[in-house]
Amino acid sequence: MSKLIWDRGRAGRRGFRVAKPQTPEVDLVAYLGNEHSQELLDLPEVSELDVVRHYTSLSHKNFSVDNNFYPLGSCTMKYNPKVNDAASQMSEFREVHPLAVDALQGSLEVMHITQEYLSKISGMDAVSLQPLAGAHGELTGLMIIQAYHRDRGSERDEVIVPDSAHGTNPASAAMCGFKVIEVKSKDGMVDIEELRQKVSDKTAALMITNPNTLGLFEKNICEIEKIVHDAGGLIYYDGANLNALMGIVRPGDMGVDVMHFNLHKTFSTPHGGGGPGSGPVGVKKHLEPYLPRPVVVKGEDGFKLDFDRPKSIGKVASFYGNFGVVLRAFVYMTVLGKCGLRKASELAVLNANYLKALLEDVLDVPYSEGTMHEFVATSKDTDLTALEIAKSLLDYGYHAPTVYFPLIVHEALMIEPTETESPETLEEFAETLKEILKNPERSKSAPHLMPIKRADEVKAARHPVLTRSQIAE
Amino acid sequence: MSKIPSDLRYTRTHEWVKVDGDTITVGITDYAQSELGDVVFVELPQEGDDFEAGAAIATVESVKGVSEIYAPVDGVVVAVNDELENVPELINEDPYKDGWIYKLKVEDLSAIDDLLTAEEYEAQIAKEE
Amino acid sequence: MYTPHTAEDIQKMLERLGLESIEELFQYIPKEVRLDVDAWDFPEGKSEGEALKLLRAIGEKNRKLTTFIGLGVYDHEIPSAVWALAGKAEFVTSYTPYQAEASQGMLQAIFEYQSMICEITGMDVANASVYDGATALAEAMIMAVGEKRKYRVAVSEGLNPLYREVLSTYANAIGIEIIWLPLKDGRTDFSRSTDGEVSAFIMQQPNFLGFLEDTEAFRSTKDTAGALGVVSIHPILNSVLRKPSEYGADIVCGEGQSLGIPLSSGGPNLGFMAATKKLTRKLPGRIVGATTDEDGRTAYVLTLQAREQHIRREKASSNICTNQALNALAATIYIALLGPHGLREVAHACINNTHYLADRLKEVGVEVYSPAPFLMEFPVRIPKDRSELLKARLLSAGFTPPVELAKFAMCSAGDQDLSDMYLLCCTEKRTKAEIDAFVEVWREIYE
Repeated sequence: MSKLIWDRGRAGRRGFRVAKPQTPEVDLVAYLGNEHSQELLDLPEVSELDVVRHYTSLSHKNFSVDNNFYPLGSCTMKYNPKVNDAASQMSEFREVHPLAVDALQGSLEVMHITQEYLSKISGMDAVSLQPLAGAHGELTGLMIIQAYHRDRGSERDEVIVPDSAHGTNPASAAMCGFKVIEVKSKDGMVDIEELRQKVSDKTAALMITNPNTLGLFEKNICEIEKIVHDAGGLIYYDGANLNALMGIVRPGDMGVDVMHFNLHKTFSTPHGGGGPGSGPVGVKKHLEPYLPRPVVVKGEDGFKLDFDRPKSIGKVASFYGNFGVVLRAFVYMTVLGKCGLRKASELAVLNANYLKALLEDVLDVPYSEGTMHEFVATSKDTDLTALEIAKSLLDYGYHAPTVYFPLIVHEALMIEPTETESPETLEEFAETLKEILKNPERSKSAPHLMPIKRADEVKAARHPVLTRSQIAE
Repeated sequence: MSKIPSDLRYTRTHEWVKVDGDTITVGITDYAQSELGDVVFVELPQEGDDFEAGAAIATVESVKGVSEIYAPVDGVVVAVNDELENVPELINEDPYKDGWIYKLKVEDLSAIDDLLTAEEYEAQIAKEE
Repeated sequence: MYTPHTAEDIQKMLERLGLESIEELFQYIPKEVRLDVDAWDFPEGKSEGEALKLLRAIGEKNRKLTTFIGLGVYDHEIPSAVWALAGKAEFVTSYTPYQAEASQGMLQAIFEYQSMICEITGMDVANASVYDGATALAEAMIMAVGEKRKYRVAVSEGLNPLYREVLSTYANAIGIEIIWLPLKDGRTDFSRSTDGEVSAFIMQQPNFLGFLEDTEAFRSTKDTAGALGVVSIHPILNSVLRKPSEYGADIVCGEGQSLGIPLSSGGPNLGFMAATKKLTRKLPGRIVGATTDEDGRTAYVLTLQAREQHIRREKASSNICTNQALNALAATIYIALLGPHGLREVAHACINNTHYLADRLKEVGVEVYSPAPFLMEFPVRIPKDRSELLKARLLSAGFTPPVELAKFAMCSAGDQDLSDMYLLCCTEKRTKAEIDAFVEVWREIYE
């Protein structure tokens, strides 16, 4: 069993020396009275080398883009360029306190240019970098929609969400107090007739992902736009799949009123094992007054934070966004430029179509016409479940695709290769998948070569052990 | 084939109902438990809470799913199966007996007549499959 | 570059697809919405060197100042080992650990993180992080309302003014009424009536002015009201204070940036959240649990997922998906390096330095407002005729000017006038020489 960091230690061992006190000691016992605690916390007591060995050894038990092809659908696990890391290390940005506003001109300039870049890529009129992740961007966008309708004295309280949408869409809408109205898919696209029936004078917005989670472009987007706008609703665009569209088509030109970007998907910032991400929000002119406060603006004598926004929904985060993430995305867009961004999207779409073709003999893709940057296959007609295929791939050094999503495809395997993979990698992956499907018996109990065999998730959920002290219980 | 005892009544949302005087016992069907997979947690109502027919009264969670349990008719909760808090797998192991979820005291027993019979329920799941 | 395709590769792939050009892949996009690339006003790309040069030039417009401010994020020492380890590509370039067998490293680290957060807060369970200190508090408010089902909460005005704004934004969208409890002599006046039932009492310890709240008053108020207790803490200072569990907290959260995470112009930070066992299934976000694999070995997995948006959709406990996992890892490494003694030493050093600074400023005639014990931050009053000059002098001497409290949209010191009130902070990272030099600038103005 792998030890916890506590188990590597011994009482009295130290991993870091705090500087000797130079200022007079405050007698905390006397000063703080009964708010003071003398109790020593039960935390690890380890040397620096203990810590280094421990976390280095943990790092070896982790798949990552730098080590493994990671075709995790909907997550855009593209390569994270090292120059972005170098930029994020620059002390000029890294050591600045966000409330030292007189010291922030450079950071504000990066934010302002990034806002402009994102505007140009999306066709939206204004961008706020404040939301800290995609779902946070959704929530912010929905708050903007809510504020817009309230401002007009309208009590629209329904948000329409397609059944293929990411779970965050209905969750964000519900968090804002909206009633979630589901609209079914037909042939893998939003069912236009059903949409027509579901819009009303209660519709606050439609949330749409395009390409949708099946990887297909909603080709009726112009009609959808008209239906929703004619009913007085707004269009929210989930930017999770923007990697298919850079330099090709812009959400703003498709009639979108408000959207979020996932800098940690489309703009190559790393996922960090779950975060931090960044979920900027873009809006059209009519929604600009509602953007979160403050907004970075360019003034006569440099950049400034504009707090004077009377219609703003308010703040959604402590400061101005996940700046370290924004900085990486800024460098990415700067390096790629116009042609590079377009090329990235073109090749992301080419790679997905190529991989789909390589797998066409062994895996069915129920909605296949018009695949963009990803596709959803099903293992329904094979001897293996999607989960078994996923686990088998791990043994071959491939991260698994997203499985069992979207919900409208049974035994779904959602595969997104991204543009940074070579055709050879895709070919080898396809061959591996074929081999797995040829040897179903071995795959049923996979993985065999990982640090652990299949983990008992039922036990974990029935009898939760969530901390070290709960292990003993 | 999942078990569908003939002496029980059923709902379209896969609850079974056992009538005993003016009290009904409610659980989820064998078909429902097998669709849901290993049950890991059950959120129970409080005794004394009253519900209208169709209201969400409890939730049953598996690792990868969650399912709401609805009140089949109007009534007041008179008992809950506390055992499920520690042994949620009873729902998988014995859905019609030890895996019962709650008991409702019902005022208008005639509403029970609108519930599905075993045969009707069997026809419904045949359609779903 | 970042795409490996040669012209031949592309040709070969197109042939396999039976296509003439990549353009054909986009045929389903209606022509009328397509972007006219020639007219697209986006700059051409740059080489890596050019991009870095440009960035450095922009970066030089930032000013490196010796930091004497806090209010939510703090300039603490960061051990070199923290980012040497947390910065490993195996962690940095991995996704949320959905595939447990291929993610044991990150999962175990988060399990350790949850254990540490519980130890620090005295709570039973913690999640794998949320975005930042402000959103952690907003999530805690939502949790409390979900548990108690009353859309009203009582919140101390001793909360960081930025958190107050975020809380208000969320409350306004959701429809939660906030009853604000003003400060009196630097601390929350818990004797104020809430005019009816509330789901929670929410406070910050120490409060934004740096003062210690009366934890017994907090406890008895929330107990009497039958409401939940929510406390936002500073994780390092808390190592010398009573744990919130000892004064009735049900949910404890806060900003974890102090635990090895750079200031970075405001983010990414780290929101931590912990709660009593009873509230486990109300916690938002990812949670890691320990279990076993088929061979009986310890294994870590994301668990209790039925709470989350990808399963429960509109009925989820929160919409959060992506969190701040890498910063949680950094915090774990920081806490491991410092250990129980180190954390207390840092807390002591912060408090000592801050008190030294306050004493020195008093000596030169600065009015320090300190009606209650303070730890790492304290307010001063600066007369209007001196504030601009002081600010200019501090900047040119390379110091951060104090934070002007009057400029915040939601900020109040209760019975005190805020218009000339400023906030100062001093961490363990400031040397005595730096403090003395900082005070010297004030002396010149005040003499």
